[in-house]
Amino acid sequence: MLLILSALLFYYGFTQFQYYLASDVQSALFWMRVSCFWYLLVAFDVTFALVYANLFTKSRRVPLSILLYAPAIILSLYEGFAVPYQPSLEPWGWDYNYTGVFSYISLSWVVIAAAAFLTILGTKYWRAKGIEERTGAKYLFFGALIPVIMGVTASIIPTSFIQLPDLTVPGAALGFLLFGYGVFKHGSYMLTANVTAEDVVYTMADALMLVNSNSEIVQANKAACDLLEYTHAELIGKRIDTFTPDSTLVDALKRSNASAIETNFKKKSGQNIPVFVSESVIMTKPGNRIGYALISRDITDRKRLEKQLTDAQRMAAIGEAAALVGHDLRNPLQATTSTLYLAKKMLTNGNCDEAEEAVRLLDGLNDQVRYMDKIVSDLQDYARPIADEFTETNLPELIGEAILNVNVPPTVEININQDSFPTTKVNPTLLKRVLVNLILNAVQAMPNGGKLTIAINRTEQFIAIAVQDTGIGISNENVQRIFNPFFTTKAQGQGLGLAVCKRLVEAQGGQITVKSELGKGSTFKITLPTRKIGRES
Amino acid sequence: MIDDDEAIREPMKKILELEGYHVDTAKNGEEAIEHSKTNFYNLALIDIRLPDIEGTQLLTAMRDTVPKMVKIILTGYPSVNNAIDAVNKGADGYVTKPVTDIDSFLQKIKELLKKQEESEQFSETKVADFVKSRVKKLEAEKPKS
Repeated sequence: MLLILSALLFYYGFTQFQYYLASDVQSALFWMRVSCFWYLLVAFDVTFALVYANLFTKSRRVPLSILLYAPAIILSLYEGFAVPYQPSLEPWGWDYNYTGVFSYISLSWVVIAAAAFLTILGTKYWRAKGIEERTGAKYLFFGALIPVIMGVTASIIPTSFIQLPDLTVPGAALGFLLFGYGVFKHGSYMLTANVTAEDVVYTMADALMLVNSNSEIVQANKAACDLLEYTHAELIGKRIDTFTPDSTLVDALKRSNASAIETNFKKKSGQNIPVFVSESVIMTKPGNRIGYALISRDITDRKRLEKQLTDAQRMAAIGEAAALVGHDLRNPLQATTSTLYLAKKMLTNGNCDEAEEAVRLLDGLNDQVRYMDKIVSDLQDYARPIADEFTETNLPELIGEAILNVNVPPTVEININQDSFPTTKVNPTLLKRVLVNLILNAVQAMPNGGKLTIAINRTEQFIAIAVQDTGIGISNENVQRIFNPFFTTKAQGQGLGLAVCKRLVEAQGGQITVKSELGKGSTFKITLPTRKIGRES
Repeated sequence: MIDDDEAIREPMKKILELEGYHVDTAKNGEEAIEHSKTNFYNLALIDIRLPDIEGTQLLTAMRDTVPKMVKIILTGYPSVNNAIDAVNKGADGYVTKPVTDIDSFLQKIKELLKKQEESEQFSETKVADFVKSRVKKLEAEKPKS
């Protein structure tokens, strides 16, 4: 600002100087007309004062600029091209005289501008707090006062009364020096004085959106536009869930007072980006919420790193476990070789009874093959990255399918408790695998039969599925380790079942917990966030 | 035959029975020690990892109950440390799972049992010789009447 101010001042000073020292009337007239844009200098002075006094805010910028610069430009052009000057040579150089309507309009405008200029800086000085701000404001006020006095002296007092040159330019130069000194020496507070909350909001790196209670966007900053790849005009007035793939965000707004959630935004290009949204409720008075301020941050990079980290951890666990899995395969392999040897022996004997026995033995090999297959699939499940494909799923149906996958002995009684028949958005393939694993564990924990209870509960935010058995239970010490990969208490099994369950549930944004008592049984509980309130049938 | 996995225990038992041996099975260390207290066994096949005890510890425990028994460790964790530990604790053999060549495995068992029998016969001869020479000595020392 000071640079522009000094440039304007130099222009005005130079043209005035040329005009004073002009060799003839023509030349004086020429420089007088060239210097006509001095109105801009005045307007800019006022702008400077406005900015300094924190009044040139973003919303006022356009009207104030029009108010200042439109008359300044009109007056300049009129003075430059239409005013009938009568230059006269005075002892100090060329001066001029003119009267008429224009001189009064020009004078009024300059007086109003000067008054505004002085009032703004004077008020600022009057209200300044703290020694530093006060000193700075003082320099600026006097920097304004000097040229104003000079200008008023030159313009108002008639030349016929007192013969003096127009000292506005030297006065302005002196004022400018005081401005510069005030700003540079005592202007450390200028940042806070100049930067408005609007500027902060507009330039901040995080996307900020104001959303009214109907979830419509009423304001968005530049970062928000950049994040979503929409223009400001395209964002305003749209519902916020136009830009989200699901209703997570709107649901969160409805229920909470102030919180932060991770969700996704849909860009204009259709690309989904993970974002961290912190929301705060805007209230006019307690209890009267009128909207929300949403600050969103793109967390694509964080998500990617998190995924890399969990992948790396998983691969490390797999590496450590290769030896263990090798051992687990050796047992069924031993059973297979022994059985094959035995069957061959029996068949070569040619005895009918023994041949039947041999066939029975060979049939039994299927179990070994299935077991080896399970070891390999579990390891693959654990090693495979999980895709998040969520579809609307009927949970009781899914549980039924899972039960059919497990060979439940007749000694085990199955109960399914549910409030309703909720459908919810889950990954049915993953959830079914989890349920099969849990049901299988429950059945294995009840070798002498018992009761298997599966309960579904739904709250507004979560779906909980509990798988409860009346089996042998788990000791406290083992409960701590039960979800660790490669932890097992079974003779056959390599301890990946529950580790896989945990991973699959967490991949859907849920949690799995266990409660158990030795001799009484265990309850495994899966909690999944409801992605969408489903229909109830 | 000591192994916690029935699918390993039972076929092996049958194979050995076909060879004419009498076989008892145990699914853990406790059961094995129990059996060894009341019965006599020529040979034990021991899984190195049992639910209640390490196979190598079982070797030490059964040295007291059946001292002269031939002991073979079966393992799914082949490692030099395991092998040294097994031999130090009195194992006569160390076999890794899966045993693919069962014929030579049976041959090995046969040889070990034969050696055991030979050493027993040798001890018997030695004891007989000792008794004979002792008797003669006593007779020589007997005052002549």
